Amino acid sequence: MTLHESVHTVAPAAARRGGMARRVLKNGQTTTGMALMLGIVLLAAIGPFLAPHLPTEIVGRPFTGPSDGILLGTDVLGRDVLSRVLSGGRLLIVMSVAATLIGLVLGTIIGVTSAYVSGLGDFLTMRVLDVILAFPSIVFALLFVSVLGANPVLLVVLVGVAHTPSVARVMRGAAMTVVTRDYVLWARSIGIPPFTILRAEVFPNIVSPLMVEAGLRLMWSVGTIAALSFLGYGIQPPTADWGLMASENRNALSLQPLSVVVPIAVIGIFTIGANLFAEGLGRIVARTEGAGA
Amino acid sequence: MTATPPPRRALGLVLAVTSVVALGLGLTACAPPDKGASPSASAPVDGGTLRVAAPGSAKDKIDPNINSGSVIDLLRTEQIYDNLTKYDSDSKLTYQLAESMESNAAGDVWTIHLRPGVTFHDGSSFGAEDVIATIKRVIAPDSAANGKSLLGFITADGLTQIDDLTVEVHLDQPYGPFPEIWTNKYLRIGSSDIDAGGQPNGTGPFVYKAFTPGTSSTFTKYADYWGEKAHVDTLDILDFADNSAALNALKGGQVDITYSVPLTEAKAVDDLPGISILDSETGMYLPIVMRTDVAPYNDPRVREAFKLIVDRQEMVDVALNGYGAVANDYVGRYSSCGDPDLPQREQDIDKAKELLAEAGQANLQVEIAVTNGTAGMVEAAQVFAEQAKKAGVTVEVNNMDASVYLDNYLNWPLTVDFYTDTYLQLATRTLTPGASSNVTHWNNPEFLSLLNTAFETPDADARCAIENQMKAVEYKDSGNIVWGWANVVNAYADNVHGLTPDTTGKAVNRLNLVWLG
Amino acid sequence: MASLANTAGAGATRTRPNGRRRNGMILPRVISGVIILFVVSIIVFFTTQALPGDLPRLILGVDATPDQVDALRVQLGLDRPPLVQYAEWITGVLRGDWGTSLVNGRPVADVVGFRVLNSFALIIIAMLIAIPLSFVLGVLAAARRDRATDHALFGVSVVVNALPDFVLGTLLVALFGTTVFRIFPPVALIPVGDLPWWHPASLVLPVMTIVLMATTYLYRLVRASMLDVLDSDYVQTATLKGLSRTRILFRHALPNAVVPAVQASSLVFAVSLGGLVVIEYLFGYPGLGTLLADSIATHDLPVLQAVILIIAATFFICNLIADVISARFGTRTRNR
Repeated sequence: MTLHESVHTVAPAAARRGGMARRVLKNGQTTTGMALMLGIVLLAAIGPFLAPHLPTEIVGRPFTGPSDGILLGTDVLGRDVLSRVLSGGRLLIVMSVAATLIGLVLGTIIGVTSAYVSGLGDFLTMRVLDVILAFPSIVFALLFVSVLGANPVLLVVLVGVAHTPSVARVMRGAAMTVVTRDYVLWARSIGIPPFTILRAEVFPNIVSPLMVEAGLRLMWSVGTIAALSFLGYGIQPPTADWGLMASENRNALSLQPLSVVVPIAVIGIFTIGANLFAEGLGRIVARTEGAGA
Repeated sequence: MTATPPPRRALGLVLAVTSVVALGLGLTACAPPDKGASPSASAPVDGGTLRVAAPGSAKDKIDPNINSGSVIDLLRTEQIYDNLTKYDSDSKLTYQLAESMESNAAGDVWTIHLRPGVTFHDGSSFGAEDVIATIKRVIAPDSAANGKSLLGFITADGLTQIDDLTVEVHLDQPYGPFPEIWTNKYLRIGSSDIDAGGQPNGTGPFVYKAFTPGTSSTFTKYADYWGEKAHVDTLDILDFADNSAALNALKGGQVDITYSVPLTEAKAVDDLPGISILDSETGMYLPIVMRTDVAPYNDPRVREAFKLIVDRQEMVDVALNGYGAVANDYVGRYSSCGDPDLPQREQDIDKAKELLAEAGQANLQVEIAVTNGTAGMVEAAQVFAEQAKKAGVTVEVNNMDASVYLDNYLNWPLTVDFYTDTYLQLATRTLTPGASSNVTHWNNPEFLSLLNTAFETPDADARCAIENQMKAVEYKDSGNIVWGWANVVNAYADNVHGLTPDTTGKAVNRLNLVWLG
Repeated sequence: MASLANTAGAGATRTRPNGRRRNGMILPRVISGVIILFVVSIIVFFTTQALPGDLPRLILGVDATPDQVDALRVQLGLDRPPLVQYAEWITGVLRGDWGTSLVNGRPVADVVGFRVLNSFALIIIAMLIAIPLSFVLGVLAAARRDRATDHALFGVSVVVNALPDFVLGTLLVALFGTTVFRIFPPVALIPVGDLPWWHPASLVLPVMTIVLMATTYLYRLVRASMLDVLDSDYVQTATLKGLSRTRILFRHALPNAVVPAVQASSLVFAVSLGGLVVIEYLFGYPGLGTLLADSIATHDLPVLQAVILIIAATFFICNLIADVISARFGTRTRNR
């Protein structure tokens, strides 16, 4: 195969990518998903500036219902639920995005490298990842948080590391399809630097599964970090955080349901958005792969 | 694969999402159902199993004299063991295992006459040797008994058994409030062979059957109880680490009484059909405790500053959800002596900042240790932390499991505790060096000499004047921020009868009076 | 179920690249599995040993003298090299001696054993409902492919899968336990010594949560398998020949859904185990999850080690089973 022909194999990928973006934007599921996520991200980002009160400020008796100025009532310590909801997303979203990015980057690097290297290196890498996968993610996080304490950076790293094996597996699988193709083997044999091969051939082909994983991982990051805060090992009081609010106020479900339902609703909307996006994208990818080259 | 027109797919999706959102919104709109008419109480009925939920941990102990002082330990020991004397629900002294007590003219020899015909659960008779054995057990030099400091005025060789039902106590100094001291929850009377092993054996209305620390205990009715016999056949006392879980268990019908109701939910709980709350005004207080022997609290200016930081009304409103009253930095609420003439301390952030700056502690950063000993404690710490910000003090709240908290009890530099007792007993137990509950490590000579004088003063009115002076010293110097008196709020199912509000806070402890029906 | 995404990439393609087929390879997998379990136990042991708090002092309490503390340290074997301690621990574990709880002095095996029973019972009961339900829904969705029922089910599954466990659980509590209806107890109070299934009312809400999460995931795999078969040449021919759809569904499609369902069930069991911590905490259910949280809070080291080891081992074994099935039967979980 000539170099000329190998260029041709790149082009369709690029063309597919351009078409992909268009398809994503036209698809109802993915757009709805992205819109939901964006909405919540905006809420988390701008919320603190819109909050009428400080999130830790005591404004009234605990668990009182909505009144003027206190649109969503008060929580367990008499703080304004609205202000806490507006302020309670930032840390969670930032941490979740960071953890997802760590997981995706680490997972992709490890997975693709492992596929490329193959053989014993591949086998050992996968086994090491299996050790991490042996722990359910929350248990994995709890194991280290219980020993080292609940600090945000540690949490982000732990959740990111917990993602890595699954991402690596998927990326490895995607990379495998390319790495074993004739022209790649040929490119390796004639000494084209690995990085060039990876960049030109492998990465274009894994972008789509990567995007799908991104959506799923984001959904899962938010779920896990919120769950850890719910258990008391994540974000600590008195910081406003949606997961923590669900835990702090959950006994007042009948008394002041807003203090619980609103925070879990925003968490839910975000995770549903992420899942919709991933689902929609997954279908597009499946269709494209089925139909295309 | 067939291509589907997007609208149809979206429709199904939108339907699903909408229904979930609508569900969520619907939840918030639902009001709790109306409470029906409550059943009227009639004559007591015997039988049944009573289940009580209380805050406990794996450190539970059923020992009448040596336990963690937790709510659940005291609850359990009160069912199995009796005291010599006891306060009734109006805080009046009554005689229990003792029939009467009298002193000589000087007040330094007291004679205890014991009630005849009382038996232990194992059938043996109760008598003077059991009382003497219990006292010796408490005051022994290496004893770990919580009440040891309370009986510091008694020596082992001062105890004489006159006959099976009479004990004479010879003291080095006169002691005024002798009958009152025996009401203390740590001075319950066990049998003389208590340390010989075997299961808990007392004279109380319930007999020990089973016990798993941190989980539950089961007792049965003692048919030969000397006093008012229990109505229920079986009593289960169940541990809960979490007030809300206990409340949920009550709501779900899995327990009949819960000791500790999260105060923020009390009104809502009362509105629930089938459940009522018992609200007792008590002398209980949840002090913010500062150790007077470590920095920065060893500086009296820092202590005063902290006392000025607190917005007491907000603490009562938020930490106690209104179930309480503002207090003024001395202990002992109910006193026949009336209140000392001290100005009510209010929040004064400017003065607090001034004092802290003077003491070189501007922008102080501290940690407060707390656990869920009873409702309102954790909340008090959190509200205090929020209020402290205004004075530039950063307080980190360290909320921990009860067993971890108790492991380091008496060592925490800043913490929240809870007490309920009469004044002189509190003074002895919590404000004297070496006492079992002197969490502030307070050692104030003026206070201590006043305390000694009070004990040696048999005349109640003269004692009053001394008491008020003691309170003034506390107000100025102690390590306790006594910001409020807390009501004790318990919750119970409507089929539970026999509970009455109790100023000692022990409404739920008198379980032999409870019947189900 | 949000956490499902971690193991199987819910909905996403688990591709087996065309050029490579996984053959048998069961034995090497099992062997590497055992090795991995040992590595896991090492990690658990050494991580938890680093728990803050001086152990002997914690046991003896505040009044202990330094001599007493040192004596206990020797007695507990804490003065010996870490590897030796690990060896002792792991041999003890394999022998059945899991040590003694620091908090109440009872044998760890007793404490943990009861909780294992409770947790596994919860999951198994949930699976017993979820699996048949998934089959029904999967067949239904496949039969009504791309029509309203299929879309509605899909929509619900997207929502339920996305919601974190505690969000779903709290909504169910609010719906059936406290706010809208008060049918089921919001807290599972199972007296010590009682078996969980003696108190069915207590189990309903936690089981319902797990069932919802498991079913929305499983039914799609059943559906995908069914569609695979329905689209196959064999079935297309059969349809053309006039065989009824029902017959095709039950005779031919259904049996093919079994293997992926078993595989997926194993995965779901594993993931339920992971989600158990939050679900049990929410409902106050006395299982492994709440024991994990409690032992962390009370620094009860032997119990913590035992619980994490059991959870990790079970989790791993379930995943291994799923992998082995995949290797043996070459099944794939596909996205539609």
